[in-house]
Amino acid sequence: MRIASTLAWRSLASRPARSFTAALGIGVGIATVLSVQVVDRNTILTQQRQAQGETLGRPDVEIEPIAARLPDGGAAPVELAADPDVAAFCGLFYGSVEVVAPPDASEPALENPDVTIVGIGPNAASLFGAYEVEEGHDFSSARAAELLVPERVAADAGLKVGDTLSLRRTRPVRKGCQEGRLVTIAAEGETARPGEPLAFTVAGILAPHDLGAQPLVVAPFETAAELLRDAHLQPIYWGRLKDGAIAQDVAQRLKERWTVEKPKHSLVGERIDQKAFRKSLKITSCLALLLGLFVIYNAFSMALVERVREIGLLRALGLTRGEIARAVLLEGFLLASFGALLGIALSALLVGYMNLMSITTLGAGKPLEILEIPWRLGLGVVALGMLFALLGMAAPLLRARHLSVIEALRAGRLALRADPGFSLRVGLMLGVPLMIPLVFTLVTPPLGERQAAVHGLILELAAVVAGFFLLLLALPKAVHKAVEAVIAPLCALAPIEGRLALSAVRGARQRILATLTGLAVVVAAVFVVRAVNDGFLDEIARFSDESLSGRLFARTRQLERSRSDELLRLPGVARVDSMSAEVRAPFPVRGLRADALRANRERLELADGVVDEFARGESLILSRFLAEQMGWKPGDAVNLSTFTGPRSFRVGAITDGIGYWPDDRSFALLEMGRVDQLFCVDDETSAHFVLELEPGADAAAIEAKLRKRLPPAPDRQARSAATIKSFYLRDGRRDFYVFDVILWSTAALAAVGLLNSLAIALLERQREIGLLRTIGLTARQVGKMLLIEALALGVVGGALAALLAAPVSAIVLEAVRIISRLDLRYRFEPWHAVAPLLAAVAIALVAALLPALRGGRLKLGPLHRHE
Amino acid sequence: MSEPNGALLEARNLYRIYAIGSGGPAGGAVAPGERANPPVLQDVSLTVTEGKFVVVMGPSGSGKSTLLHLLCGLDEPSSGQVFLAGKELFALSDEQRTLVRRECVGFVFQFFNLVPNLTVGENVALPLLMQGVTEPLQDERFTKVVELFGLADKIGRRPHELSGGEMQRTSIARAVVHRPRIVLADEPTGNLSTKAGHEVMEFLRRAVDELGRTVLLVTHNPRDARYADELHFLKDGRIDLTKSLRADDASRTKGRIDEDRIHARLEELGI
Repeated sequence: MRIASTLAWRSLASRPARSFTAALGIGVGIATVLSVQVVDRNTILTQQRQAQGETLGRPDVEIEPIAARLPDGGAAPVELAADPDVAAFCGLFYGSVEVVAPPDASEPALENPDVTIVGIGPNAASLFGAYEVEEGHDFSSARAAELLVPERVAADAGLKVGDTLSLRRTRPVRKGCQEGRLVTIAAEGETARPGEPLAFTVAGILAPHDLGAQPLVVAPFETAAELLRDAHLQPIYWGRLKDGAIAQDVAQRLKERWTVEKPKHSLVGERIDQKAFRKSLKITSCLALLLGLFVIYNAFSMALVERVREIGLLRALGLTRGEIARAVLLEGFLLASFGALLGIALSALLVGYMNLMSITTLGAGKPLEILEIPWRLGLGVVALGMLFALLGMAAPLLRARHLSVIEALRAGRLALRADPGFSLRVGLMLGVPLMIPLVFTLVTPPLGERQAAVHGLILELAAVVAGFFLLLLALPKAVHKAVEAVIAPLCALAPIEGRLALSAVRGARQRILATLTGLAVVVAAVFVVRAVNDGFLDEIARFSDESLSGRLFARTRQLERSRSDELLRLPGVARVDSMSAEVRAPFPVRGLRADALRANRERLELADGVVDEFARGESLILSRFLAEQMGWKPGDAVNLSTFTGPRSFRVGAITDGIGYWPDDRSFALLEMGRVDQLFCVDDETSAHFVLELEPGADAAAIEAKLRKRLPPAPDRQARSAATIKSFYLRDGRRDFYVFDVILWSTAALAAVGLLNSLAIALLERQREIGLLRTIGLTARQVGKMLLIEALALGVVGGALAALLAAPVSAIVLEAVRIISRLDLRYRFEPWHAVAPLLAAVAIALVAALLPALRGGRLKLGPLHRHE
Repeated sequence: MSEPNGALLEARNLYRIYAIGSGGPAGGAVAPGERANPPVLQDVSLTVTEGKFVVVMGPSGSGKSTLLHLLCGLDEPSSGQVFLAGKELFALSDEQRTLVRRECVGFVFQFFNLVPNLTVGENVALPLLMQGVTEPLQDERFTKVVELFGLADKIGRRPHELSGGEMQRTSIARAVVHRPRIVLADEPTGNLSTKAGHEVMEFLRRAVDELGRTVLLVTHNPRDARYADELHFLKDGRIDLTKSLRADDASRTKGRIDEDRIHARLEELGI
């Protein structure tokens, strides 16, 4: 091992620039992945902390019956028990009881006899962590007459384990909306008298967190249900889903009688569009790591070219193939370790930068409150980076092992019996497409019914990438001809440099092909990510145009209808409507006057029958996102949860044509009168208005006038569709800043990779260059020669990138469309062909600068002494 | 130390033939159905006795380097056998051959072949390092060789800071430091001035006389051939042992072969 370590150390130390660029390749790859992971983790933690206080039990899903009734006897609902994706569930309801003082008054009594009781299922503590018994024990059975009392409540009431307490249902009083009026009503079976008392034993005292932090007592679900018999109770069921199950699938199955929602804390970053965004981000950052592989490959190839004679010599002196391999591996390991340290330092800088700029993985402008280092994940990324680096050495190592010793000694140039790297390269090129579906399956959670469609697209993507590589492998001559064709016209401008560049390209076909492949893949990846970003922005723009155009939105203090009409009905404004009528039932339902819909009938292409049905309050208009989410189509029946039980409506139409601001894409519209009747919503006064403009009205001018006219209020605002659209787009672009960080890192890596490749060219030809310099070639001409080669590589690499990027962008965007349910579309535009070309040329020329400078500064003396 | 038959290195009926288009001496052997070039070596047999300085002389292209590569197992013969330190080289695996080479052979090349990343001291110590010596620069063998070859004040330098003669001295020191059974030298003075070449040959001779090494040297230079105990001539891939010269035959200088006799034999052979 000592010989291996000596050779490895010496090799690294004697070529500090090469060692540094290789380590930088690994470091930038690791830093990109690590910083994205750290920022993502802390984004989620920050937003979860903000949402957490509101969530009890931390279930996967919260399931509520639309009927808002406790099942008979508190029995477990059969639909939940039978659902294939629900692994376990636990019911919970709140009720009111009063403490009954015993005749002999020997039992302890509470100061306030009215107590909130929670009936809770048997596995609430074990599966959902809803409470922790600090003293005593949990319920002995599901029907036990036992109570769990929070520590604070027990202290206040002087209760201890073993005490008994008699409770009874209080007289039920409940207010609700009935036919547009708020009334006090008794639900079916409810009586005006309090219930029968039931004696409970205090089984345990609860620790002061979760349920134990609230002023209540806890009883077994079935016992509490019996105690509160005839009362109107609104149960909720916490659900634990099986591995890989999706809440939306459960929601779809149970939608007739239940609403299924994810709790707020678990929704942080889990909304389908956020998820798609975060996944895209992580996959993109992994790309940077793959590019690190490319850089390492080139750096080690360069080392091999440089050291071919040394390896041959060591073999001749008695170093075995295994020892050579160990020395190379050790060198790689040391390099990877240095790269990992560099990566950690760089990722700290990147995270600091993103934090400073408030860039998170859920959009910009949301500063992190928590900055934890996920050590395990971090070490995993570092280990992965190092593994990638070692993999990157595989091909050069194979070449080193197959070196012809005699020719290495004799000629001092790369002396291989055959090109053993060829099969590896072919393997890599074919392996990458094969890995696409595998990696996708590993990193993407199950997508339920959309799985098949997305998998089809992923296979299509793998086929396109494989096709691209096969094309390069099958037509290498065409690729080289293309490079030569780019150089040929330059020979007229710089005859010597051009010819030298041509000879360099002709003499290194494998290097040129490998470099072009790497450059094309990197640039293509950059533009695919850009295309996805543009797809999102285009969707935002189209959505804004469709849902907001021809309308203005205003916010001011509360105004009565007559006053708002008088104030806001400026010339060019056709109608003024209140935007206050919104309820949750269980998704957002907004009130819309039938004449407002009628006024938009033509624009929305609605049949008369649809508008009439809506006007009668029999149908809903659904936003496209809600319809997609729930799988509803026109004509389907949809239940709304109302005070008096579920009400069924037909889906009249699905459109985003009547959107609102602020943006909420998932909602239903119901005739205003009907909303008032079912939910008692008053739209006679409002602080939030939508103004329908007359055709051809100047929205900007009206917006300006409206601003002056609105009565003062702390959040007074007047915004036209165009203003809102520009806000949305600006926000969208800010959300994608994080992608820019990755794209810049990726471009830097591509430049480092290319720099290595050109440096190899320089090394391979340093004797030739030395000779040419001796007989009169100037340093400037050497530099120009390398720049010409770089330019040609940039042009051809860019063209190949454009060729790959266009179909891949279309497929990726289609997959993201299916996953996010947003109407994303890919449109090929001329700049999609030109921009990769320019980017590749820019990267190539930047990368060529250093080798060009070095080439010009080669010392001639040592070159001639180099045999 | 000698092997049972007294030969440290023995080549028996060596042939080396390359396929047409195989890229010359580095190319592969002839596969069935392939057309072949004329043989580079034909029926070469040679014995090197321990403690002798043996020189094989021949013009450019006569197969000298090919013979040297076959004798140490760097290349494989088309037919024939090589025995080194009692082991038949081509009955061994590549790995085993490498280990035999590591233990028994020291190399001196025309182009020095020093490792550019290592210092002079580390270059010299390389074979000791390969043998697992943990502190090779402190090893007594290293100290002795460095002094013998006048490199004591240069061990911290890099190869490119040395003159050609110094580089070749470093190369010889590396070849003998681990006390191999035999040192193989391929035109070691071909890249040096007359003075430096003479110095290098003196050092090789001292390696035999003072360190008890065995040296097999190939050259086209009659001046180098003078230092041999035994001189064989290679022409068109053949060695005619009947034409070989021995130092005992030399009359004028003890331990040297008379240069006139060498020239006369060269003329006789038409070389």
